[in-house]
Amino acid sequence: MSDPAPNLAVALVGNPNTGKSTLFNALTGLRQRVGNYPGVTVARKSGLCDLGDGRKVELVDLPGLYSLAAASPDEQVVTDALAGKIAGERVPDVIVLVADATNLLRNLFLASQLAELGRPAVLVLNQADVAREQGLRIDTAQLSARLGGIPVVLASAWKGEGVADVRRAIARAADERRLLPPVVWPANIAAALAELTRAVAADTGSAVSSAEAQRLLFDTNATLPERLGWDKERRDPAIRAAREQVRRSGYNPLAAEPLVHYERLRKALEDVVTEGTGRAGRTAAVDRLLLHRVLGPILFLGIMLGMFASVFWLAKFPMGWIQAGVDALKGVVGPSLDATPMLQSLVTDGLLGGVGAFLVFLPQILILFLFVGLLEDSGYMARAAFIMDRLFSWCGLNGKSFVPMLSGFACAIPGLLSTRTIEDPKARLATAFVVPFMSCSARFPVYALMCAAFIGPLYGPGWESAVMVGMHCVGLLFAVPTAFVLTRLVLKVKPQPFVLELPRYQLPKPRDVLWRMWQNAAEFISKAGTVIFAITLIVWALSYFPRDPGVADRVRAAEPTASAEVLAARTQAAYIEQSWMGRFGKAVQPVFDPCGFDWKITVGVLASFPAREVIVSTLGVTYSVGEGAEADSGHLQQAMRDAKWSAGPRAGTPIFSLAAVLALMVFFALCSQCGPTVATLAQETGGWRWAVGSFLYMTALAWIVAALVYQLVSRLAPPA
Amino acid sequence: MALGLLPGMSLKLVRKAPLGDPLAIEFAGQVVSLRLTEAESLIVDVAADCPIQRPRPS
Repeated sequence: MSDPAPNLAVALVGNPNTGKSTLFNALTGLRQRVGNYPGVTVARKSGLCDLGDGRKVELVDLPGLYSLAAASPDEQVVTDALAGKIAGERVPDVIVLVADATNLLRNLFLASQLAELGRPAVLVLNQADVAREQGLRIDTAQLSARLGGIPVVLASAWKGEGVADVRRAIARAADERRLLPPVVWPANIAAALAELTRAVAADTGSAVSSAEAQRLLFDTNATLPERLGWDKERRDPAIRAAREQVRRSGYNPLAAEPLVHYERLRKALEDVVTEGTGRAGRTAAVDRLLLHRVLGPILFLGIMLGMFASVFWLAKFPMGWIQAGVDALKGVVGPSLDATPMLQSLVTDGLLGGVGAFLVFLPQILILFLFVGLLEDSGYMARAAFIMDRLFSWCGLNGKSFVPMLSGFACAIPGLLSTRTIEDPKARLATAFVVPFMSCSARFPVYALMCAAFIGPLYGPGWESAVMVGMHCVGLLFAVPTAFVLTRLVLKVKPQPFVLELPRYQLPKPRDVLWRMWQNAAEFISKAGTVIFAITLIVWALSYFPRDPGVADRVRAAEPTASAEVLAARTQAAYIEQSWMGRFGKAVQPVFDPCGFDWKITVGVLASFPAREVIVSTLGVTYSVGEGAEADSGHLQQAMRDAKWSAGPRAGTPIFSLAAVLALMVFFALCSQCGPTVATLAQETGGWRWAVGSFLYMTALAWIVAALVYQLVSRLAPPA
Repeated sequence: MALGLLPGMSLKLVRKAPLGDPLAIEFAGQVVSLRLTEAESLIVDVAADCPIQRPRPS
């Protein structure tokens, strides 16, 4: 970055739905960077902001939260970042509290908690335009005086009003360094906090801040004790005794914190806010329609269908252009390398193929995030979750799992990226784990080939359609129990209540939506893109090498009368047979024998681990009908129908029996054959543990179910 | 509780989701979705825990 090092570090904190990110975008313009906090899947958004007096500030947009109680990774990151406990992170010089001006009392609860940290602060009362519309009047001078003299600014980031005031206020806060006065605890709570602080110091030797002591006293699921290394044997009685002390004074220890804070804030806001007409009537009116018992779900389905159709169908056009562009590039570059076949194949199939392999996902990602951005920023996403929650809650997911799972039917990649909209980490992980089970569009060519070649001709178009539909449900059938078991038995994360604010409806701001689309696409390219590229290269090498120059001659010698076209196809088949991939396929064929796969199918299965749709063209090569075979290729279908077992107990019977065809389709429905999915899963879950787990689980499940199907069907309907 | 649902506060059941769960409740000028299980736990909490306190969410 060419900009000089920023003079100050400033953090933006606030409740969700306060327009905090819009303010962030307004303050930083396009000078933003998105990364991850170390070790967690919480995005770190930072940007440069001019204060207007020559000073530059590194502004960090912290995740939205209601309270400092650190139950989720998001909340943990905010607490740590503000306390300067993240390695490589500057302690913020100024904290900018973004509050919704129409709901000050609730928004200031977080501010009141943050006062414990003793950092200079600015209070931004955002969405001031809406407050004005509602007839709400806020005396900012009075409020500032009651909050220790910190700058209090009215702004409307959406309309761009007051943004310059915010800059000036940050500069003032940095100079004057005024603090929010912390809440004054009743004597017994103060004593309990002091006692806890002393106990930690005595047991662990470390000094906890007053903010940390409060987390120990008030939170039931704080991660702090573990991180302090405070021995459970000594910790539990100490915390219990402290809570008992709180209780004796008439406070429920788990309710004391908000009670005391809200009492204090109510006093601070007295005569500061002049109530207007109350909650905007428009949102309630829209909700009467969108959350109507009958019309609500219908409109919901309509919106979701529109989204799905766009991701599934609209994206096909730009995807086609990308494919055509890559192919055109291959056509241009290819012939110039005719003299060096190895380099030619490396460049066209390896390098260009690898770039195309991840670029082709971009249209779907961009379109899905256009919808996600519109749905979230308008406030509808919360309503969608509200409508769908009951269908998902019983298996441990929640209403917000719907959008990722639905997009999974088009493609798992955008589906996985959209799991970020799920706040609850447990539901987010479980959703990400089951999204790859959804029958994505890459499985379609496999079903289409098998159904067109075998089910249709043998059993008629009725069965063909039935099997097609059935195959699309197989994944869902296994995904639901998987989520159930995962959330109940495997994930040892405490369940979080699904409390969801249904915010005011708002027009999405195009700049914010475009930014979200771009940021998701950019992160996908830089992280998952590189992995996808590498996988494509590796598979290319495995199916290219070793390349014995004698192969072509031997094929020509064996069939001296064959046409050039047939010769080329036969040579291709011979090359792949003696490549590492081919040899490996033959070696591991016994593993897939219970599923009824011969070595050619096995090679196809192995070659399609990076991308499952590759099976069709690989079968095209191994069955000698040439490269570029499509699902509707009559030659390939005929070649497959003619294929017979050459040896063993099944010698002479067709390889593609009904049992084998069904087993193969089920295998593709369940198997984790998609490098990009595995790479994206790793990106979204913050490490390879879950990605590898998903790969092993899905592949093992696919093998078991395919073997069961083959064994069962071949006994019920033995091949003729 | 962090959302400001405090003892003695009046709240209004705005509507139920189409499948009967969760509930949308309105208090202090905002609407919040709450699952039945969570709404239930409020009451259990009150009865068993501390009779002086009134309903509190999570």
